[in-house]
Amino acid sequence: MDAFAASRAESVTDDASLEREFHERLGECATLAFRVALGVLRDCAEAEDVAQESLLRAYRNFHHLRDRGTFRSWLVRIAWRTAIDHRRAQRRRQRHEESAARDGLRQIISAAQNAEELAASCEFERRLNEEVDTLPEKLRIVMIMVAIEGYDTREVAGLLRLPEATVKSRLRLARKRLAERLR
Amino acid sequence: MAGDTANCAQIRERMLDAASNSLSGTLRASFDAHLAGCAACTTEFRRVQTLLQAIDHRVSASVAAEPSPRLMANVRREIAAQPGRVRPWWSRSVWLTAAGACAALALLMLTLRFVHKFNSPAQGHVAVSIHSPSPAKSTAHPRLNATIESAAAAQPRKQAGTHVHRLSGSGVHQNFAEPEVIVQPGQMQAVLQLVSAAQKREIDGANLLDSQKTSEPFEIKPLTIAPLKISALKDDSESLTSSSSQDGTQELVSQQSN
Repeated sequence: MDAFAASRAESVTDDASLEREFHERLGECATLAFRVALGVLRDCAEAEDVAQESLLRAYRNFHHLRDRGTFRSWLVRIAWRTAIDHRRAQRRRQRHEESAARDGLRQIISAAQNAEELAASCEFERRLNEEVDTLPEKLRIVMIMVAIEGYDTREVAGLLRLPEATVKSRLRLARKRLAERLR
Repeated sequence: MAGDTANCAQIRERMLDAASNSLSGTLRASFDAHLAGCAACTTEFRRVQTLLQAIDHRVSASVAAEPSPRLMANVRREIAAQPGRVRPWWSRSVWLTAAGACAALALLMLTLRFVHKFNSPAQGHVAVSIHSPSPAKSTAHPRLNATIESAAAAQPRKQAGTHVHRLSGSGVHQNFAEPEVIVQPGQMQAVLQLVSAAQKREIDGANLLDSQKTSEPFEIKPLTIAPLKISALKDDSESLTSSSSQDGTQELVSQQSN
């Protein structure tokens, strides 16, 4: 019985330390999970739902994570996959909207005085979102992660476990493809 | 003029790379030189630069929002509602781990039993397995056991419907394997009588098996043919006389009748 009691006490201590460790990381990483989801879904309320689901999933599987140093990278992958799944389910429910004529966007780009004015255009935003959704996942995640404030290509390379040169080339390719399609 | 148009087309293909600062030194120099003398390409290049900046601006703006405080509150509330979920139940106690292992073992044994049952003999036949002891034991205590498996409980096999008597095993006394005989339903009564007699010691099961010697080939004795003797032939025209020589060959002698 002593062995049983010791095992039980050790188990409870481990649980408590795991809980504490997770809560410490939760404060740091909740915003990151939310922004990754927002990059895919572009809707704050849905992104919050997905971020909450991702964080709870991370909590339930936290004991599986052997290298706790990779928590942020692990959480980014969970949030990304959850958001992509959510987006697919959402797409199935929605009717496919017909895209606007290319000429219309071309006129908007030509008429814009600067990049800020163009970016503020609803039509440009809608077309850009459509094109971002058609990018391959490996390009899209790099594009969105680099756009998150405070993350440069080196940090994104660490989070996605890729060489920095790969992140840079993927980012360049993603921007080029978007520009070619919107041009 | 045609040369200029072709040059403009090449320059416009490179505009995205130039706007991303990914053109090499030589190409960038020729690109800048062309723009200096071509107003149309300069305008187009500014347009491409604006487009790329707008893309970056828009994508950054799309992920610039902060989550509401409700997110953290909801997550903490959900975590509090499911206490102890950080570790799975099976890793909490040595005893629970052992119980899980026992359950897995039991499941494995059940699976093996099911697989064994699935490989049982064909429907419509009865499998009779006769267990014979080793030769040393059989001389001291001859014994014959029989296990009869109901055909109805057996799963159908590939040979279902055939009328084949199958004898498996290469010999009781050689490898101590159990001979398995597929018996047709009509012959089951006879087999049951045989088993019953063996169990009552009315017959000696071990000697019965020994006397069968199913694995040994039959002994075939050399065939001998007696010499052929024809003493006389009652024929008017001629008669044949057969006589054997010393080495057993036969000779036919023709005699002219007078």
